[in-house]
Amino acid sequence: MAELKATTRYRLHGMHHVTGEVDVVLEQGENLLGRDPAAVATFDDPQVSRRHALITVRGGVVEVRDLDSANGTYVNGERVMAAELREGDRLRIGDLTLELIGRLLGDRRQTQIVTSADGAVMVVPLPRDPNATRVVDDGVSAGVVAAPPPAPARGVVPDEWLDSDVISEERLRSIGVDVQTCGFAGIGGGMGSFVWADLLRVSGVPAEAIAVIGNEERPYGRYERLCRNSQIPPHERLRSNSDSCPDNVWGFPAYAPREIWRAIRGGDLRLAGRLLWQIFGEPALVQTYTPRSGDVFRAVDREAARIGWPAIVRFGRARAIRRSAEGRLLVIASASDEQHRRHYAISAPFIHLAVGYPSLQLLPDLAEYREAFDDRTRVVNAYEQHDHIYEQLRAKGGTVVLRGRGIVASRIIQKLYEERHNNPKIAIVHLHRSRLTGGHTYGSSKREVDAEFEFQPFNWPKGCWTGEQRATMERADPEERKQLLEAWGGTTTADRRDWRRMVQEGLREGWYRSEYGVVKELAPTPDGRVTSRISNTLAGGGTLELVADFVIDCTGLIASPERSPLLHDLIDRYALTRNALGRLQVANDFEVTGMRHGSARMYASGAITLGGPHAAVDSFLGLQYAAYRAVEGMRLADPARIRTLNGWYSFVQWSRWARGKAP
Amino acid sequence: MVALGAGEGTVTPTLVGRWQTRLALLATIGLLITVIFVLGLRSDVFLRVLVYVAVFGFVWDVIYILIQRFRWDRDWPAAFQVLNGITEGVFLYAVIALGLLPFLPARDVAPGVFLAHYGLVWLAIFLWTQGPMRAFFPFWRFHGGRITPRT
Repeated sequence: MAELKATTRYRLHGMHHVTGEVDVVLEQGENLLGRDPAAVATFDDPQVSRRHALITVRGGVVEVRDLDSANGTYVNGERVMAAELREGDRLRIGDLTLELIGRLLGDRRQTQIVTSADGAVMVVPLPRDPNATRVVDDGVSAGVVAAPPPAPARGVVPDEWLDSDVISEERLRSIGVDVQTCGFAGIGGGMGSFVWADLLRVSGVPAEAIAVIGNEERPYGRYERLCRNSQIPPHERLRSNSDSCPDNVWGFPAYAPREIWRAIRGGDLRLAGRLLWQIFGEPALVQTYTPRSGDVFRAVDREAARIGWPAIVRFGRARAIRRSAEGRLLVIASASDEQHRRHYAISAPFIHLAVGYPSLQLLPDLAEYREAFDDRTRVVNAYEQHDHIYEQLRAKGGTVVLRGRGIVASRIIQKLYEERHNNPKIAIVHLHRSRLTGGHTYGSSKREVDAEFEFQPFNWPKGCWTGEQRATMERADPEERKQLLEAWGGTTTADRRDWRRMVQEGLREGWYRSEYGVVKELAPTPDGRVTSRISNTLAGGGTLELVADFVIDCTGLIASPERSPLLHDLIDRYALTRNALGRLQVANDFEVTGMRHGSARMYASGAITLGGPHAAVDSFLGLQYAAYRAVEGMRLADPARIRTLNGWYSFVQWSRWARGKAP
Repeated sequence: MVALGAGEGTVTPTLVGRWQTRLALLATIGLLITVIFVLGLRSDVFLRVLVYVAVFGFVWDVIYILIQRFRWDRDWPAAFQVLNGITEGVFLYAVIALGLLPFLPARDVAPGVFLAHYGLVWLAIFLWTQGPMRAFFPFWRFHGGRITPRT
């Protein structure tokens, strides 16, 4: 055997409340943490200083030194100026807690490409020669010693164990890791996991058989934060259909009749009449009904209590998914806090992956500006917390540049319109790359356009959920799917009369206008504002300098798997196929077929599957559709565990829902 | 005649979904109401009217789907469903009154009784598809109104 020189490669791994998982690879030598362009990783967190801390790696010694940061550097809960870090130590900067993880580099085995029984091509390591000596790391100087490796901390899965495709549950237990076996394991813990678990529950699966790994106490935790940041407070209406009910798979009674009923009981007959007219006439005669976010969240709370959600959720962060030697699929999760490091694992024959959007999107020129000028107050993403903008505008007035013409932009305009009542000196410049000439067309139909907005009640044409386009998409091949998504997709906003009125008013009164061109760069001005330099193609060339107090990026979220360490590792480890959009490839029943392991199967849902069999994957009803298909797939694979939710049995379950009784 | 659409409580229908839902609901809810009329008024003319509603419906559904193609959302609002109910009823009564239908002579069908029977069948099916249907068949809507899901 060739002698391998082993070194430990260290990583910092953690979870940010908005951007999701953070994974920083530390190089030998100096690693700067902070918002400086030279930093090894930058964090979307206003509490992180530009040059926050320096991490030095020398051989197996890792040290951290605080660089006079504003909010300090903490190791295992204590503020430090300098400290040595050991594996498992928790480093906190700003809101972010990162765990130091070591990885042995010399232990990488050679791989071979094999074709599995179902035709999937996989990369697997060559079997390890049991007689070979094994390279391990003693922490300081690398050397060759005999197997087995030194015992790791109890209850913690050693990082090098994750370098294998198959992990033994028994072996995990032997090092004190809590391995729970159950029928169904969900990963994510958000709305996607919730509607899946809810469907299982009403299909006769007991709560004890389901475990969902998540970070949120409530299934809508992250969703609600993104709503609030993008200016959807509880009384505002979501862009969701009346009968897309994450708390009720039947969609009956839908949110509109429930609101009508509440209005009648509250004596508000005018509202009841208006809503009734709305659901009758929408969308031809009157704008489409959508539910208030607060009403949806309350309904989900009620359903969560009914199905025993608190007993289903396991607090933690999924770190890796592996095949288990016992023939199941295994999720290894971290439940570490600042004081203790602890891992646990859940093994199940069925796994459901619903991790949502891995990250926020920032337009490249805006990201560059933030890096270069260390300014996260004047240039923000609409999904980030940015109340400081409205506070300053209320006090002093000012100009805001909006980027993106979707529904988030509409919401921000509404918020700014409302703030204008407090301070009329607020102006909006809506910056577009080009003029919007006509709406998208598909077949004999065309999407409506007005004042630079393209209108559509929901984020996809309605037929994408359950109608003609759903069937078309399912039948299409990968390349056609991509084309269909382009035809049906694009940036749209809802045709709300109040929004149209606000824009028309703004155009008339001069506090709202559109500009066109490609942004070359952004720069701060001496008086604390920000200027966008735009090559103004519409005005016949030349450069336009647009000075504003704030720039708000309304272009959205990113679903590319690279942004999620969990997905990245999974795709890498099992050589999973990606679809034409680069997302996780799923079959028509949302199975990630490349993960099959004996009779164990993995399914996915949500934005990570866009480009697959369904267009509207990032919506309540789309999540329910994906859950329905996945549960149906699981039922066909194991009919003894799941009942078909249809006919009389479905009615019985529905009536239990109506009476608030457990399924 | 069968109320199918993307309005509150319904689905975004496909052609096969429209056909299947129409047939299934006429053969159940429609038949139930028709039997009451047949027994109450001791005349099987209502049964023949029901059959014609189904037969003409096959063609109406094709027309609706063609119109639907011009709608960006490929949906069918509740208001359209009400309109469909009226046009189908008026058309059916007109061809009966003109004596164009075999096995259904105009003299057998009094306008008042036709209105009561047709109106009730339509209303019952409309209300049923607005939500209660889904308590029994939750995934009916996920397949554009197909009773036999094809996945």
